[in-house]
Amino acid sequence: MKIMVAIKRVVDYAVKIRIKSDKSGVETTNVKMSMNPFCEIALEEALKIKESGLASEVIAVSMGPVQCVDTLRTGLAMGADRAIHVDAPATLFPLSVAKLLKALVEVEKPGLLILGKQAIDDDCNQTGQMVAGLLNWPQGTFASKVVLDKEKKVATVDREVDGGLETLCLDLPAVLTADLRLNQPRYATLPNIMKAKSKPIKKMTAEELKVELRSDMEVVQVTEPPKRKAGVILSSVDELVDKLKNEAHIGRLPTREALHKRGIELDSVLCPRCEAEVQSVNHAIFGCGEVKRMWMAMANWWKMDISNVENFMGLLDTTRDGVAVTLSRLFGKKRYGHLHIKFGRTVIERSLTKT
Amino acid sequence: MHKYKGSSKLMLQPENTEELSQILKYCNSRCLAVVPQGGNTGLVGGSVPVFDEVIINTRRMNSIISFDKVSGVLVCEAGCILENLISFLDKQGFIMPLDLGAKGSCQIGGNVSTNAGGLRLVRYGSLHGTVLGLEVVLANGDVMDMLGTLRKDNTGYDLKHLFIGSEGSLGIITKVSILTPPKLSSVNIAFLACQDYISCQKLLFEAKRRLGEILSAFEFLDSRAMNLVLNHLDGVRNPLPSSIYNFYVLIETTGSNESSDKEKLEAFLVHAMESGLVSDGALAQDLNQASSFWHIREGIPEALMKAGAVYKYDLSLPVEKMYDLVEEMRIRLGAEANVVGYGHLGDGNLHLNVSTPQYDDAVRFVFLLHKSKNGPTVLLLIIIRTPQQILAQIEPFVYEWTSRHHGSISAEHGLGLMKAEKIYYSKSAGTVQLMASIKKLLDPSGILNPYKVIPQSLLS
Ligand SMILES: Cc1cc2nc3c(=O)[nH]c(=O)nc-3n(C[C@H](O)[C@H](O)[C@H](O)COP(=O)(O)OP(=O)(O)OC[C@H]3O[C@@H](n4cnc5c(N)ncnc54)[C@H](O)[C@@H]3O)c2cc1C
Repeated sequence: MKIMVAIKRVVDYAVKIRIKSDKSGVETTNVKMSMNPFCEIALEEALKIKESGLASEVIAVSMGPVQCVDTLRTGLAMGADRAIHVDAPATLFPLSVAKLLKALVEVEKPGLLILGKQAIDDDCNQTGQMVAGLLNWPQGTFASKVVLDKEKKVATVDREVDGGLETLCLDLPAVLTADLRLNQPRYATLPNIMKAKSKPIKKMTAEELKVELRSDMEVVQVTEPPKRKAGVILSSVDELVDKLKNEAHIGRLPTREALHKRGIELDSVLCPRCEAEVQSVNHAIFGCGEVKRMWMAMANWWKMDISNVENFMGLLDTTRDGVAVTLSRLFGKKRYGHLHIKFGRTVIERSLTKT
Repeated sequence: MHKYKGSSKLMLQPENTEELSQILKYCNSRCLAVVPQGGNTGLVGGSVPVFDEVIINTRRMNSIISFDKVSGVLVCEAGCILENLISFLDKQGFIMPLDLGAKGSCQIGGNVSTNAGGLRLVRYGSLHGTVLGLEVVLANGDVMDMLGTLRKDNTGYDLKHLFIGSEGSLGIITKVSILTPPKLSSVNIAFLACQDYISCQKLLFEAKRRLGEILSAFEFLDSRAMNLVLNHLDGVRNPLPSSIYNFYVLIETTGSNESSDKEKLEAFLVHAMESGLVSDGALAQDLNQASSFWHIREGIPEALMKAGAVYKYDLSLPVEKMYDLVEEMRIRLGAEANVVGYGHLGDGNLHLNVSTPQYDDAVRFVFLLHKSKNGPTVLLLIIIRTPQQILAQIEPFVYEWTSRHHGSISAEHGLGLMKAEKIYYSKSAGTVQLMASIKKLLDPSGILNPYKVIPQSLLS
């Protein structure tokens, strides 16, 4: 059985991405390019399968400009037997890649096609699924464990899904996509780099494979994500309470009441926790039974009385000193050093007079 | 380091040259001893207060003053942390001419004061070449402006050189101007295995010829260093797990052309493999792999620290003699200690480290009362050989050996507290006398970093 592995050349994982000044894409000139880490994992899995005697040959394939040959050489140095480079423009969308892969599969007839679950440059996470659809092969995506049974011609695949692992049994031939925990890829050692020099890399074109590289998608603009605002270190609890009251936009929390007011249809506006009252902001962060009990316990610890407090803002006002102590305990003296001294003492005095 | 315990009641953190000058002026007038301190990562106890010295720490003097993209000259305050300078320059497309394992904590002022060498010396030379100017505060508080940014300046004595490597004994460095090379995009790293030390040497010889201008680091470690790293650091993976080798060599090339550099390196490596100099090796295929190779070499000091007590020697020796010392030391100490050798082979700099489970300053006596059933009671005295005796086995042997082979007992870490009295192993009496005269001239009251660098007897 042959195994085909798809390999993509991407901007190195450790490089900080920069956007081209005309916003047409990501800067790649003079930038370190490497094999997509998930493709490395896919290749490692294929090599392991071959080493265990269950496959006869590993073929690495890559599509894109001529520099992809460097990446294929890395694949050969890791241990792939031969490689195919399909000459194509740098920006290929998943559907085009899937069509090219399908054509290559028809030429090479592998028993397994392994890909990375996604490429770290466009994060599409589509190619594996698309090619499985085009080939009408079963697919095991996000594989974290693969066991082959050559006799029965099945692959048992563990997949990482929300809430646990799913185990699938796939009839071969099949498509697999590799997740992070599938294996740890090997290094390219010198003897293998030397051997790789004489391994063949076949060059093909889309025309030869009878695939029309056409895209129904167009990239309009590439921009950086908005910069995260820097955090601020506050110097007093008064400042903190002030910020919570005026800047934290507590009123904009998406509670059921708020959503309903914005015209979003809901089954109910009642609090999903207690199902007794409307879920207003104040209810969610202060009034609801369990939450209220938590505040009471805190107040008890602070040795304060909050039985007369009516809402969250009132709570903030009443428990300023308690909040101060809690924060200084949580964050240590370092950051809130000044706070600790200033407020810590008042609280201690207070608790002394109270008890 | 767990090795030196400081004792000081006061640490001052001036915010600028003016404040620092005021402090020194006051201390000088009251004859109060001070110890300059940067990141406190020095390995010879230079930044540790011995008795009651006032610590003057430069950490708050950490701003970058200017950077000139055309000349590559960076001017900054002494308290800038090396790693911050590296990342600042990275954004400008430049690098620092020095890099070392302690980069996350050490400060440029500390680096200059110790004339730190590090991992790139083989390519960019020592700080005596790259530091273009300094601002220094003398013991009496006078501020010396030598903060030139010129590459060439032959007007009179070039006094900044006195302060580079003087470990805070002549003045406190407050500003540094340093020449930084442009960052080149193509970096390749190979991790190689050699069967014997002679192969490492030949490999260096070949690398200098065949890699020439792109060679940027040539580091070596022996199998004991490798084992320490694999056993004591988390997440480290042996790049060449198929077999155990006696030596490992890390070669880095830095150049401007990815494909031709890689071709050159691969051709060199193939040649080295074919001629039997290299037994096995791996070539980093991406930056992640590159940094994990570096992590092995840079992690050795940390691994040693985790392994227990460590006696560190930083020696310059003729490359061909270098490893003989490690082997002789192993025979001397036998099974009691783990003798580890690694270092900057490209610069003829050996880090000889002797690792033992713990430090101990005294010989331990254990008394046992042995009462046999019907015989008399016997008092048994057992003397346990402690590392103190190990120290007596190492020193002065290691210094004498180095001196005999015309090496230096401190290649890059300095003399500090640890080796102040040992200076004669590497410098003639006349030279040391002249150093003492300079010290007395610049610091007549002897307040700056006392007990360090120069033997006490010459200063009192
Ligand atoms: C993990 C590790 C790896 C290392 N690798 C290397 C290496 O590869 N090459 C190498 O050469 N060294 C190496 N070192 C040691 C090196 O000397 C120091 O790490 C560094 O150069 C000291 O900087 P620092 O800011 O920590 O200085 P400190 O340790 O604080 O001080 C060092 C000396 O300089 C003096 N000093 C500090 N700041 C000033 C100032 N502004 N003015 C005057 N005097 C001052 C101090 O009094 C002291 O004598 C390493 C250390 C560690 C912990």
